[in-house]
Amino acid sequence: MTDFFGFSPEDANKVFKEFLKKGQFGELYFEISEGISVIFEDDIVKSAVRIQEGGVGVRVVEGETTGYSYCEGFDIDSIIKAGRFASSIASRKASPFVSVEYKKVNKHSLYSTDLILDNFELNKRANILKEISSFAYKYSPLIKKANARCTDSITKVFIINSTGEYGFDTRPFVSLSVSAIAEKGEKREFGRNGFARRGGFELISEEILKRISEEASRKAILNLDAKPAPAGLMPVVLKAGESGVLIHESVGHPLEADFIRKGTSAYSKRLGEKVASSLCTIVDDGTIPENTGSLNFDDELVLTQKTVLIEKGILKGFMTDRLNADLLSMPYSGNGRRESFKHSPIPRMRVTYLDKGKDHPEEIVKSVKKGIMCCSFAGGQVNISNGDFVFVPDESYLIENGEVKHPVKNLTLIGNGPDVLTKVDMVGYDLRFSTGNWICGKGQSVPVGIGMPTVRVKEITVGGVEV
Amino acid sequence: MKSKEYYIDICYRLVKKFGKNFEYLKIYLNPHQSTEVSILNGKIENVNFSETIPITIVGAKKGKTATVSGNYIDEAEVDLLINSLSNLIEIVEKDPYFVIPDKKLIGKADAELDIFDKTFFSISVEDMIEEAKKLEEIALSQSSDVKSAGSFFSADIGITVFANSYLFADGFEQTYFGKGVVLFTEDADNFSRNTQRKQRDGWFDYAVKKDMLLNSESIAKKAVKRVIARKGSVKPETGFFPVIFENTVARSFFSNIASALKGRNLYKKESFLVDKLNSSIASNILTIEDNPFIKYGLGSRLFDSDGVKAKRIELINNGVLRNYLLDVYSANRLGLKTTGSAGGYSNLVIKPGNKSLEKIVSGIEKGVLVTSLKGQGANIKTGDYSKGAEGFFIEKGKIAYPISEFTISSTFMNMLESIEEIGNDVYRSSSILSPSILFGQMTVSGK
Repeated sequence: MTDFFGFSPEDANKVFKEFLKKGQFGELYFEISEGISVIFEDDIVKSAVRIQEGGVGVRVVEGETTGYSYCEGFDIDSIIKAGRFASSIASRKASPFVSVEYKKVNKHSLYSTDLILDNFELNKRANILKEISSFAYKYSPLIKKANARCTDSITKVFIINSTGEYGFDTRPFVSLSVSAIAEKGEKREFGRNGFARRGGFELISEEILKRISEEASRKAILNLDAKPAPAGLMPVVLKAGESGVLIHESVGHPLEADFIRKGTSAYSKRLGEKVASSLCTIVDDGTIPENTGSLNFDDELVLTQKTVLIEKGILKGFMTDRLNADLLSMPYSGNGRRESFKHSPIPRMRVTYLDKGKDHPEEIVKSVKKGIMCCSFAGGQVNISNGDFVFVPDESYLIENGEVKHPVKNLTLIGNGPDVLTKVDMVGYDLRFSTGNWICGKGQSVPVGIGMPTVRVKEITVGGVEV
Repeated sequence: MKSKEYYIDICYRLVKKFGKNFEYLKIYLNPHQSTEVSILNGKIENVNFSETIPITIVGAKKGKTATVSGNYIDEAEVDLLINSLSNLIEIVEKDPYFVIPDKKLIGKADAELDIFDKTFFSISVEDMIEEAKKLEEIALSQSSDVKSAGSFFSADIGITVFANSYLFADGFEQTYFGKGVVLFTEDADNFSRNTQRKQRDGWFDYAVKKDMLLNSESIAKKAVKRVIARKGSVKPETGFFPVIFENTVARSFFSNIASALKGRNLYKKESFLVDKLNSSIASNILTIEDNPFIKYGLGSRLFDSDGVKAKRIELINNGVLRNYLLDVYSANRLGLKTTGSAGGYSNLVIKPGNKSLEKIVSGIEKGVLVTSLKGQGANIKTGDYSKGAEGFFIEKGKIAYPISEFTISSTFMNMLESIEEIGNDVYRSSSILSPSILFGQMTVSGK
């Protein structure tokens, strides 16, 4: 039989017997993760970093209670020690775990790589970064500095649980980021861009290096002439792609099953109700090849899937992990994710997007008398209980009489999730997914994907300084 | 967890063995043990226990530096890591600003921090579960209108060990406890929105010693009061208003200021405080220092992550910028001296004024009290500031009603210069010790 981390599925019976009781769910999560980062700063290859980390997370679940512990290293004694702690939550004396037969779970094949870590010459990373930086300087003499970073990593996981399931997955990740500084007179502005995929360096082309470098430079220069943004309620056009931050914050988080179960979400007990404009179909999909949010199976061996959350405005489903799905008597959606072996899995988004509509993107812009158009974003945040969320654009423009005017800066948009979704009144046919490196933090950091077509929101509060 | 001496010895042996292969070598080892329990509606939700030994090694050859990090499992693993350092260094280019810290700077400050709770290992998981259960129970007993989103109790112990090519190897221990409860309540106003809106808030406390934590009664009462006060919150009008940052929120503002003072952000010209040393940058009532020697301080330390002896640093004195927060490298680049601030501030102390928060509120005809902030709109590079907020509207010197779904905008420079009042209500359960602050005017964007 196959052997992972020097551990065979049969060993699991031996380990589980040491601490698990009948009726409890037990799980071992083996992980080893290796990564290389190279940093280009001040026009030199400034630094290189290698990270190597691994261990085994042991989880014991009994009803609503979870015990979690981990060890660094893969020897059976350490795993058992961690298991004894995790199982100390046991509330009743039950008979010990009975051996099971183990079966490999199904998985997708959404990513692969050959060119990564030691299979990709270290020095080639330096060349990539130099190229990115030189594209920026070529783009405009206003660019005074272009720093860049590239990171590649492989995470190998082996998961086995007391219901007799096991699986192994190799998860590659490559990302590039560039930050450009533009100067004109006394003014200094910054532009960022990035690229991230599940895969290796075969996915990095010269065209991509040029694109992210020029995008960062373009944004930096654009903000040199940006004017202060207006304040108050107004229509907002969100351009396709990165505007998916809106969906992630406004409805994504409140539809995660832990908030639903605890009743803290504004969407608890609202399944089947109309919660958004009928133009809104919102999906969380863990199966888009090479997207950073995709997984062959989730971090608790559940096959990932395409989950429709809202269909034509009607609330259809939630994003579940095993624990919350079981407690809510809902299906597993494959959204159980964790940052590393040091963390217990919780419901998390994968690739969340608003599906395409029928409107022409240009018509959407033309329809606005006075408002704002936002193209790219620095991030966002939500209060899942009252539904208030912010998202923070880093490229936006004033729209007047259907025409895009000058760029504006220093603004935050704030809305109420359930409220904003009823105000989406135009949806473009140009659905796009962001290829940037989006990291979602909910106590634990995980990479996610976002997507959206061009959209008009009838009104939302724009937080600029000009009243 | 083993003893401090055990880990110091590991690091000593490593620098002794490998130091000669590098122009400069430094090692951080941070053994850490953490236990956290969380309770929901009287039942145990989670019990987490972890023990980890992260190690980071930075090596330099001919002015070229690289870093490796991982978890310390055994010496053989570390040998492999250190060997890969040399490969990494090969692709790095010579940094003209690279500098080996002066030997005289390295060492442990002579101070009694008292940040270690000797009773740590006698506290059982059962005790922690009991504490968290009690806290939730008291909170729920205060009002039938609130529900629990969970309570927790956590206990951490860590050892900070540093060693370098000078064969310096030393460390200090710290313990850390946390306790808190989050509550929610159905909102008062449901009819106007397409939602079953809830309001949520809570209260937490942190301390280096268990006995110093606020008692459960106080935490519970504060949490209940805060969440009930949020019921029926509305969107405020748009306009220019005086804005108070409650002490917990002022903390986030000063954390941004500390980032803007950081050497790395200055030499990269990614701070709005570039070239501002010795000039007036704030209202003359603002004085801030970094004090690593606060007894029981959550950020207290004896050396920084360069191994440089900790010392007190005056950052802003009566509005004048006196010092940046510098490590050895950034100081060299800026032509200044290290302030022992590698890794950032230790305890950031904002000098309190003499008015209570209530008194400050009483002087405002129409304004906003901010109790929570959201989003990434604090841009220390450009100095632009725009954030989502929740809080209360102030009318005629009194808290009038709760408000939400609005933003506040300005620039850091305008905010610093417009500080009109600094309260006497220092929030102490943090390494940023800040009172509430009144900014003369910001743009509030709502309806």
